[in-house]
Amino acid sequence: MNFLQPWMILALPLAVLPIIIHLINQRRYQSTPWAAMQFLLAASRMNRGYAKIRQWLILALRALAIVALVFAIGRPLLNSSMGGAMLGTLFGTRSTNAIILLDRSPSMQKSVGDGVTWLDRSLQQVSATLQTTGVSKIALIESNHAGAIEVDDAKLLLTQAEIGPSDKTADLPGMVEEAVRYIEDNQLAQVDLWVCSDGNRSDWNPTDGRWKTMQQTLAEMGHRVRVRYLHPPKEATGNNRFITVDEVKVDRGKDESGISLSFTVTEQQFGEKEVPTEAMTVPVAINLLGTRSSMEVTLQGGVAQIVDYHLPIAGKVTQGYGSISIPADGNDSDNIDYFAFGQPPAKATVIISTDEDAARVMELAAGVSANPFVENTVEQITPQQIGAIRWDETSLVLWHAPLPSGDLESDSDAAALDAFVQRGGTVIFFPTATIAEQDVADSLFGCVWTQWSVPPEPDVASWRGDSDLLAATLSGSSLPIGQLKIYRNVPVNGDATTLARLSDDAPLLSRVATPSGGVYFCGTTTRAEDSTLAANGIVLYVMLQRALADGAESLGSTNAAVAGQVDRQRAETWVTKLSADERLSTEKSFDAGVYQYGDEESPRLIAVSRSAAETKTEALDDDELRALFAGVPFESYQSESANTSSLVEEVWHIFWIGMLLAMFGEALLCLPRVEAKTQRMAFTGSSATSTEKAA
Amino acid sequence: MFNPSSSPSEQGTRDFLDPKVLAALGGMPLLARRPMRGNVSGIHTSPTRGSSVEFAEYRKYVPGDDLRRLDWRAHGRSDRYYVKEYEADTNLRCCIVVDTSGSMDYGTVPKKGSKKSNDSGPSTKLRVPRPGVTLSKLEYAKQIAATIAYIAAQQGDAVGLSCVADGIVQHLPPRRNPAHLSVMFDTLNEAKPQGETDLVSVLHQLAETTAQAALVIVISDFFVDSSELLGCFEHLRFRRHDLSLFHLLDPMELDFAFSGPTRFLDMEGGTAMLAEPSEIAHQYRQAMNEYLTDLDRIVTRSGSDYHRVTIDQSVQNVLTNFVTRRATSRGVR
Repeated sequence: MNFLQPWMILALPLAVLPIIIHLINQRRYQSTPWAAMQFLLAASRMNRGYAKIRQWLILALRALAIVALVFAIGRPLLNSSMGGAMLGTLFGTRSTNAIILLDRSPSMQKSVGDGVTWLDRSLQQVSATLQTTGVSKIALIESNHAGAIEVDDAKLLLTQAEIGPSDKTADLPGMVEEAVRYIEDNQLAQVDLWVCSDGNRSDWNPTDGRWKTMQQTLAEMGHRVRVRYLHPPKEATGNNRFITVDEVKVDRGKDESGISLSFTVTEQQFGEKEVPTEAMTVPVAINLLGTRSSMEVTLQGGVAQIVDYHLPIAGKVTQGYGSISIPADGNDSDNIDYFAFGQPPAKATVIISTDEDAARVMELAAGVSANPFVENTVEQITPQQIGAIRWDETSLVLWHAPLPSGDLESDSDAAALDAFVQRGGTVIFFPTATIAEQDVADSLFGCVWTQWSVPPEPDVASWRGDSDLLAATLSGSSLPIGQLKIYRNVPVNGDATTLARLSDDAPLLSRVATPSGGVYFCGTTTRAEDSTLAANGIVLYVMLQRALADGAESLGSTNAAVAGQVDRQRAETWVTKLSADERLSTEKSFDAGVYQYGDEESPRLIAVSRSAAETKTEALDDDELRALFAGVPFESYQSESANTSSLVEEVWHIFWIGMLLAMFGEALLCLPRVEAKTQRMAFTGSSATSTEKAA
Repeated sequence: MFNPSSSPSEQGTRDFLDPKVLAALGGMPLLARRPMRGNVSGIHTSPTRGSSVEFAEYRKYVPGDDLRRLDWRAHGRSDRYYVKEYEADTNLRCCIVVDTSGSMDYGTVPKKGSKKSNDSGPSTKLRVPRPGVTLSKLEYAKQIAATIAYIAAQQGDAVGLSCVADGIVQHLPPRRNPAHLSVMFDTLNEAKPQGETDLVSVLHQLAETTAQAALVIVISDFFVDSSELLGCFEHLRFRRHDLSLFHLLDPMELDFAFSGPTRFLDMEGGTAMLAEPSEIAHQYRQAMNEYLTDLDRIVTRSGSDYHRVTIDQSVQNVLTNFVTRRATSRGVR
């Protein structure tokens, strides 16, 4: 237990006041001669039982009344809902600063009863608690924005603009890092780090390398920081279905056009319940360009996957958007998904090469379209013809020529290539037969070629199959990269991420990190003496088609993105076409919906969807959370769904009642005995009749 | 004869004699409750037959009887000789025993006419003995003893006095001489409360030393073990003494109305005791009640004429009650 005015505890020694007064009174006795000593001695002998207890009881009750008074003025706190563990620890060392980490991810919009989400409830409880306990400094760190928002009063926490729901996955390691930075920058002494989260594994990402660094930093802070984690209520169980749009394709027929929509509806359960295996029907509402339609899908084993559901569109519509939704359930944030569609962009590839053989293979791989409605065009040019490239219509550049200079001001080719990448285009560099000196000296995008080398083993030793150009297919099967033979290779030197590596650890395929677009360095060519890329064309084909698709996206009239993964400043200029509710302009990049951007003549649409990771309900358990904050005092509190009040409450009224009871009890014990009067009457009566008795 | 209206210079400080009380009680005889063997004629019944006017019984004539006492009418009716006997009236020997132990000095009742009586009367304030201001049990006892002695002497009885504490401090044997009364008053006047009470052994001693049946009046607070009192009372009764007891108590000794921690000093020289009166008042009253109940039982069993008196009572009322009750219970043998 602790107190809002702990200095009042200093007054506790006043409890001995009644005892001191009693002792002083004992000292301040009066003397009187007395004759009937034998009765006094007898009374004293008798006064060893109840009377003694009564005397001590009176003293104890007086002391108790003072203690209760001191406690009541000290404004004691007691947790109202969180169980006994909180009692001794909640304000064991009272902090004057509070930092609130608010997880605004979609999983936080889980309902905890009465239509209130855990996001709202957890913040309400923390706000109420801080109002009760009082803190001098409050900082809010929420999952969408970097930096801490300082709040003057705990009451104002609930009025902040940045506390609403969001579709972006939270980055808890980053938020804790931000909190640590804030503590260090402000040199805070005692800090309560309130974590409002549902423990979703995707938000916490316990394998993130930053945790280890933060553990050390926090451990060095010692007991300055106390982590208080609010568990969502156990009662918040039930079913949750979520819907995701997998693909939207534009259908073009002779008489009508339309789109083919592929989507998935998945059933999952909160808590420990298992997903029902029996079939169930779920209504699905589709909003396409403002026209609403509905259908029913049947879930088998908790999943329904609809592929190429045709939705006709009257007339010739080249661009559009819509949403698909299911009825409300335990978490409303994942009951709707958005899509946008438009004319597929032309996939134009430019091959800059003087090597006909190598260029031919690349031309074949890039020229075959996977979509019958989209034509792939390939143009091979020499390095001297670079100036004639129509960059605005190009998706992919295969640069099999000496690298341009890295100086963007003096080299127009380099400047054009940089602008192309910035626009979103993709470029893959291949080494020429002879590495020029400038290729070694001048770095382009921070990288330079080295020289040709022969790897000790021709096999590809390792590659990243989880993402990027060499990622496994949607079915999960990996590309046959292991069958490739690399006879010669030019390792790239520079700040690039290696996607494939040879047996001598030399990079085969590397990607340079750029804000937009894609820049790749492939260390070998399609020539037969260099590799089997041509002979084993699958890898080359998939690689080039993916690079082409990525580059073509920037040319298309529609786009898709995941909430939180688009540039926030860019998103501020977007016009909302479809969204769950109107949000702040600064929040658009974090909210699922359909937005329009670009000029009026060629407007472009972007469908922002929530992160797929948020659909997973796996949460970290208490031990895992404690492990993440190892070395730091960590308290976790289980919320109750019915409780909307503070985690703590003032219990001074109990002490007032206690004091009154103590005073009442003391008064009762101090009441003079009624039988004394009766005895006195017996004395006088005896006096009057004694003579007659004697007679 | 002693004159109570004599000036104080003549009699010393005999303020225990109140002329008004004496005047009020002057016409009331102090009678023995059982036959007394006096030396001279008096107003009390004698165990022997005498020449009073009060018929007692018939007795068969035996040679040597005074023929003047033959009842000729009875002879005429029954042809037998009967002697008519009458009660003999005699005087009595009154032994007054006054307890002068230290405990008898206690008294919180303001004296009549005291200037400080107004501010020292029974109140919520602590009532403590104040010499000269409050009336002690001994002073009250002196009033009773002196008044009874005066009445007895007035009706021709022999009066004696014993002042007792841990022994017999002063002893005046019963005498009818009027000058003896003056000596007795002087003795009372000089009696000072001191020493412990050894009333039981003193009464046993008096029972043994008082040869003839007498009216023994004990004036004391009886602060002794009640179980021992029965023995000495029965001893006195066995010796055919008419036993009267004046049990004097101060109201404070019954009420125990003290407040605040008080150090009680034993007036008979025992150890002092510090106590919180409110804590032990109940037990004190309980102990006192048990003691008085025991005493009631003892006096009833011993056939004593017991008078429990709180010293705030009027002496006149107490003595009026005493002599009146004695008159109504006369003849108890």
